Amino acid sequence: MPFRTLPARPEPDAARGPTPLPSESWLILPEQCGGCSCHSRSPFVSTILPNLDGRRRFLQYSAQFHWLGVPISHWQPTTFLRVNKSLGTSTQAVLVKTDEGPAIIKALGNPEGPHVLACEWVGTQLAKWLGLPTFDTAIMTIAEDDEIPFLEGGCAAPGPAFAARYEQGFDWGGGTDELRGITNVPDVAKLVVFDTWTRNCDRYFPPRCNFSNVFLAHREAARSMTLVAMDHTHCFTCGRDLTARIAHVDCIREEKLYGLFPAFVPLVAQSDVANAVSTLSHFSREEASAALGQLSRDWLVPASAVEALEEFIFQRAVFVAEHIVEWLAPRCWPQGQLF
Amino acid sequence: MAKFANGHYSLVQYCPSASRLEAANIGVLLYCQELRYVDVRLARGNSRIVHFFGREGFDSFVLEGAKKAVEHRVRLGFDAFKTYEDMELLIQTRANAVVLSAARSIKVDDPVKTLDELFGELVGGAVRTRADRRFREVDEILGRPSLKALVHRPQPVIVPVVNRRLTAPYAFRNGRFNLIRPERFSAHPGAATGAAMRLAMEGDLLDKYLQVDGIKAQLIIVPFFPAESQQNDRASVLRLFGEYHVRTVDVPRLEELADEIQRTAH
Repeated sequence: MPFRTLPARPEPDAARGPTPLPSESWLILPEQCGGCSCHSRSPFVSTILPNLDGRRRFLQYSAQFHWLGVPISHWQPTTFLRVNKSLGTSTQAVLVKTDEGPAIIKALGNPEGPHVLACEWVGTQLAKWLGLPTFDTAIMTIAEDDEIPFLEGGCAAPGPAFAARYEQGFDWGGGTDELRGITNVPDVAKLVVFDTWTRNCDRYFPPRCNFSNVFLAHREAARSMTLVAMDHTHCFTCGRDLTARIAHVDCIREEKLYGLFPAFVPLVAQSDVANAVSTLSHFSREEASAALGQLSRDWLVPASAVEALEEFIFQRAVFVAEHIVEWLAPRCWPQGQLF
Repeated sequence: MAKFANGHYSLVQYCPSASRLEAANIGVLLYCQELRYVDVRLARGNSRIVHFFGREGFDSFVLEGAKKAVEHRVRLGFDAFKTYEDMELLIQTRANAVVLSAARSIKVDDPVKTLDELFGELVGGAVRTRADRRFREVDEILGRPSLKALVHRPQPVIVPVVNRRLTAPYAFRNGRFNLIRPERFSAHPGAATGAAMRLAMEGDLLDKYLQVDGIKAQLIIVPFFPAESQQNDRASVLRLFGEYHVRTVDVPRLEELADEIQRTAH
């Protein structure tokens, strides 16, 4: 990845909007970080961000985006080319070919409603923030004349759709031994922390048990797989509409574990949980705000719900960071760390 | 006249491009709600895929993982597929290269026999067996109730110096902290030697540097070799472990290991 130091901050030009930068990665120096605490000590890499209309929008020189803190991809499909396969998922996802290669899209007009797209987008940003591998994702605009049929009837509606880059790999089958050889075993623990933070009921929250939302991607070494967190449509509300109710104390302080598949238990190490908790405890209100600042208006999330969701994400991060070790201990380490 | 139940079957296919829709059959799934039966038969080898797509047309490692995932999912048992819709969901949500064809009706008398016949007719070749998938012998012997208090399922350990995570499904203490790891080696001599070199080195580092609760750790390898591997290749792998002082226990000697655990573990 080519790194170059970000040039000096230009004067804003209100008429032209943010100054565009070339579509490549940049090394952001601490003094350019706009004062956010998370990157005040070390340089980090950032790159272009997609905007919500599906066009490219370049990095803005504001602290707002610095919370991402990890290289994000250049991947930004803008044009739908053809349907490869309509899938029978709850959001009627469709495997399509785009100008940036194959992608799985979840579009407006899906039977679960527009809010699940907002949950998917925010959930995926939070997973990335926590350091979980995810697919490259983007907001892609479905045009009026794009004909993208759902498996169970109907078509994708025009407007901003959630797009995830297709990767080689397969859905997890549910066995512990399938996970023993993955490159990122510590992320098993992190995934449980993430699901509990975001109350994601769509991986493991009995009686719901959905192995398909744990993806094993073939990414790096020739003979290894990487666990990837995918499908966050049911974060926060378990598929229901986002409302101000999400900030209710019952939601924020819910003492239930999410995502702890029985097959995960032998792989959840105390040190890995401690690392994830340490990261989560640094989650700030500004970062919550930044995650929600990118939501599309076309997803029809009311302002009151956005405000409540920001409160929920921040407050629950604090609560989960404080308590998840004690929730996990009886299940994962009943006899201490090694046994 | 025999009473038949209504069932559904679906072909498990390798379909590397969802656009092209070209696929090779690699297995068959049978579901019969009336008989509360669901199971899958998968091909042991990949000859049909090689036939259609060539040796470069697939990654055997990824395919093996995908097969294992399908088996796991189906063998969760009938409780995971209580309705026909549960099976349809499995079929319709697959976006990767191992897919399931649309379900078709079938009359079922003896489901096991029917599945075997379907496999023979629609896929052919040798069936992947449980022994191919798991270390059955190890699980059977070390998972005995009599060893339950002595044999544990340890957390992964970090190998000193290289900082690599090493997993072992079983462990016991008897003055040493013994990590037992079954390992299936490739029939390809280079791949088998490579895997053995890595494990031998890791075992050596564990032996030298790792202590668990003040007890020195050691690695015990239970090697599995495919039928087609050459005797001298097997011997090379075993000698390599010997050179690094990593203990190996082959399958016929697992009973001796169980006895040793009974006698010495605490």
